[in-house]
Amino acid sequence: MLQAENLTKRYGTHLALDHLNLAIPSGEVYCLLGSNGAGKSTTINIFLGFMPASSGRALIDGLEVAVNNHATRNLVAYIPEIVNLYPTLTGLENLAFFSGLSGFRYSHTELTDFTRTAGLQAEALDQRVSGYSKGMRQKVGIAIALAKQAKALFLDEPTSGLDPHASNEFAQVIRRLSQQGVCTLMATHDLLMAKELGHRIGIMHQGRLRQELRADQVDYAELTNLYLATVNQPT
Amino acid sequence: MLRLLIGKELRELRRTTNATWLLVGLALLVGLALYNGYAYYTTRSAFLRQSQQTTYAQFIAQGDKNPHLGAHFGFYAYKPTADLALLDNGVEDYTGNSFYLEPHKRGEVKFREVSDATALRSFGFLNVGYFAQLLLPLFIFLLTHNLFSKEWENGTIKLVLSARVSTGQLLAGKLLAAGVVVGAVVLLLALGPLGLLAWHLGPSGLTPLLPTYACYVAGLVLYAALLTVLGGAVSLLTRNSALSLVVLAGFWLLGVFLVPRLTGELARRTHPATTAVEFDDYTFHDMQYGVGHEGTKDERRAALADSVMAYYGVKRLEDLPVYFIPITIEAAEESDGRVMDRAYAAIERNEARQNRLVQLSALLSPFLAFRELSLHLTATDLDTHRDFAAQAETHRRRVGRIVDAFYQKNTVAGNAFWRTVPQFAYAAPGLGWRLRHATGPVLLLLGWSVVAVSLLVLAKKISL
Repeated sequence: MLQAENLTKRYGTHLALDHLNLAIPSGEVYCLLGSNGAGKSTTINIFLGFMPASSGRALIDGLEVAVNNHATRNLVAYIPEIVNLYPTLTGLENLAFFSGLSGFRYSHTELTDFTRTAGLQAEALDQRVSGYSKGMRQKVGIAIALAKQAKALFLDEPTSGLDPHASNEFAQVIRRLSQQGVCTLMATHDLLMAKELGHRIGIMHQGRLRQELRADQVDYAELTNLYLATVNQPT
Repeated sequence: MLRLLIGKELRELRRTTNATWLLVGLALLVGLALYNGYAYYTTRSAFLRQSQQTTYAQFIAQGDKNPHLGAHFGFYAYKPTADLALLDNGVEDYTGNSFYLEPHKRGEVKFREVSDATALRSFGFLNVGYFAQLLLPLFIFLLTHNLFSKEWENGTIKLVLSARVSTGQLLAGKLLAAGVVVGAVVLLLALGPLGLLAWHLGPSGLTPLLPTYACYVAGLVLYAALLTVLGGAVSLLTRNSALSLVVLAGFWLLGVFLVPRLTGELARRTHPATTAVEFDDYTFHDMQYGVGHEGTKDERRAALADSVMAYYGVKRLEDLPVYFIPITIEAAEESDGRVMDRAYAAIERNEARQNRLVQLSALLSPFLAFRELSLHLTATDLDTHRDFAAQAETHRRRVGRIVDAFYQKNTVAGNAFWRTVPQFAYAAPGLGWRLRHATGPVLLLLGWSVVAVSLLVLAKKISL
């Protein structure tokens, strides 16, 4: 479903992404670990078409992002670290707007169903988003992804700053989507979340994918040690 | 898709308190502009109509007099207030509105409103034209400065761009949303004066104005649209609302205040206006010796006497079958007319050079381009004023010829004669003439539209 072929991004002389090769099939949750500046967000931004790659290709469902940006946008949903919404609109209005931008017209009941699935309390739906907590915004972000019926989900530090209960709810939704065949690429610092939620884990350092492993083949302690060993490697 | 984008933008705007107050303030200002324009138009046009009738009635009822002395009684030719001065009073306050019709003297247009006004008048007169030229751009820039930049500031741009909407649709949707609000204001500016004119003139009076009015509204729509695109382009280019506001407000200040003042000063220095003393010096010599150096006044009078006596086949002036004095008056009128025509043509050429410079400054300011168009279409521009002055002068000479012809055979004129002297009625040139004179401003507005769209395309390429 998602493929990176020698994906490279340079900012002047700085190599932000160095010949990344990746293949994530439908239904798989792939977690990218790494310290700040490792190249995780750059990878996601290239897949989303927010920035061009310097060389290499990013493909979604066989379509090259750089060539078919509009078509690939139809296939993906994106949840950033902080889901920024229109503060003067209600949660439901934001959801209706963003799903509308993707060409979906839902009834009030259908929209409410998406928010319920995402775990947003019913009483919050008609409140303006300016009064929402980060967790509530994250849930609206999930509802938007659900409403978009995306085949691929890109998550950039999605659980950062969420309380454990909200994190757990979030993980459940991602698992459900995975079971429905949605493939997920998640950039995170949360090793435990990666271990619990991911099928595969990649550890990036200085723009390169240094380690790749199956989540069910390591325990949390081993993952931690491997992570620290990788990110502490000298340049 | 466009409806979705427009609906969301308008909903956001409706829920923003500042925007609500801005719109309320704007509606009040439009109301005041309409009231001012209507009051100016109705009181002034009634006053001028009445004044013209009164002075002419006095002239034709002056009783028995020597025809030439009676002609010196004179009467005023008034420039009627243009109907569309309700929209924009243009340069009317500065050029004056009445021309005294009297033998020998080419009249100066008198009664400039500003001479009776307080210093506050220097800030301008709030009517629809003033509002459209100065305040509408500010409103449009306040509305559009964050049209795109707020997406970056809210952090919503990535969610938007990850959706199926194309950047072209996004651009069009947002600009159309701003266009809906700007359009509502433009509609108010277009329909308000139209309603007042219909009320004042009735359908038969309004109908002839409609083609010109439609052109004015078309110009206003183009102007508002280009400013909306310009505001949106700067917002997209900067991706920062504060910076965008500073850029747009700076451009507004530059275009509305600084450029006109600097250009005015430049025009004054590069093409200084002729002073009254210089004018008198200039005309005195020509009056004494003739435009073509035909000789002194006495020499020209002697030559005239010879030619008139030869025409009638007599040897002495006393033997002429007509009075000789009116013939000398007529000849002097023609000779002085040539002197004045030349002197005024020089002044007008200088004014035209100054004006060209001022009009060129619209290259730096779309506000000035629209101002010029507004003045031309509402018949409150300098070209119309010159046309009025020329027609009034022609009428003055016509009256002189009528009186002199009568005087050649009569030494006394009574009311029966005075009533044959025609009243002056100024008819401003039609739409075709106005549009020809407004070609420059129209081209400049179109040029600015191209600049605005190009900037938007560039901003899209850079930012989206």
